[in-house]
Amino acid sequence: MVEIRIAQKLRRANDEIAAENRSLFSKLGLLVVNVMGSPGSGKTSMLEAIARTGAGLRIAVIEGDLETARDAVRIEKAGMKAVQITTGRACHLDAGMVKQGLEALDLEGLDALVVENVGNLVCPAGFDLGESLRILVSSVAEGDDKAAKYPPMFARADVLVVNKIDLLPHVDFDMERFERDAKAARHDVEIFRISCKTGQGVEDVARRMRDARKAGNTK
Amino acid sequence: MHEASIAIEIIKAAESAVADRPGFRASRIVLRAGPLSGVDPASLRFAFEILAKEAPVVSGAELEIRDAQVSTSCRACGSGPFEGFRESCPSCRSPFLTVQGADDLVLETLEGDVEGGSGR
Repeated sequence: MVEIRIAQKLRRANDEIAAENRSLFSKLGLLVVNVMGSPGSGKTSMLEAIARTGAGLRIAVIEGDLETARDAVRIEKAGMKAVQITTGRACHLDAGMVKQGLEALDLEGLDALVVENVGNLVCPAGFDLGESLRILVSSVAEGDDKAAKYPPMFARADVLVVNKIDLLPHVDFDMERFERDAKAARHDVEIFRISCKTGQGVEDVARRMRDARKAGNTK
Repeated sequence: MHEASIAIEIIKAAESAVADRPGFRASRIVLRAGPLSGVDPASLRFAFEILAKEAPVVSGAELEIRDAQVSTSCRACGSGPFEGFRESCPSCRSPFLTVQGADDLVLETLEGDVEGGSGR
């Protein structure tokens, strides 16, 4: 019997491209935000709402979806540059897809690049894209058990946005329980309660992005 | 969710590790996976078992998946590493911590023999 030591990290291919992306972004002084969350949680709506606040950030968006360019069209209508990546059947974006998306964007003069991941509460957690800030968008319509049921996703979120709070009177959502579970997954997560519909709280998320950009927040 | 692509990576890494040992056949492969590596052991073993059939070096080998050791160090006072996840530094109470090992996914060792030889 022979034992051969290998000690090789797997998923290295993605991590290497993510590191390339990250060093490019930091050279450009660009804030890169990975926006994740379930389908329908309001990821695109949050970006539209941030644009409406006159965020003081020049933002471009890379949109990931299985099919259609609908989100890219919405983002461009809101006044931001957008590139749509359709993944076909893939359930998440990886660092290589983001790198490809960059080719279609002029990064000069931008403050922030937002990567809106494929709507999914499982897979995007495992793929570093080279981002410096991770925002997870969750909505009260999804129920208050999501943080307890999908902890890896919540463990990786720097910022947790709880969207659709205008619906709170109509749904059974225990905010305290949800936030306690989210903090159990990541104790220092920053939580913002917002409504894209009414605009409540959106300015706070925009300010958080501006602060991250100023701080040169790089992982 | 992505166990098939990870299984392919394991097979390729194993093949290149024994490229200088013609006739090597692995009987056991040891992988170390952290609790946040996103790997489901049963799915990975299943994907590996199927895909390994096409790769003589690893075909029929047992895939052992061990838990990675998680440790936490304090970014404020520099103490640690402490075993496991922590909410705050046991020494200075700071919440600013660095976690090691949680998302590790490392191919550790290959065990096997060179067919038709003693292997040593």
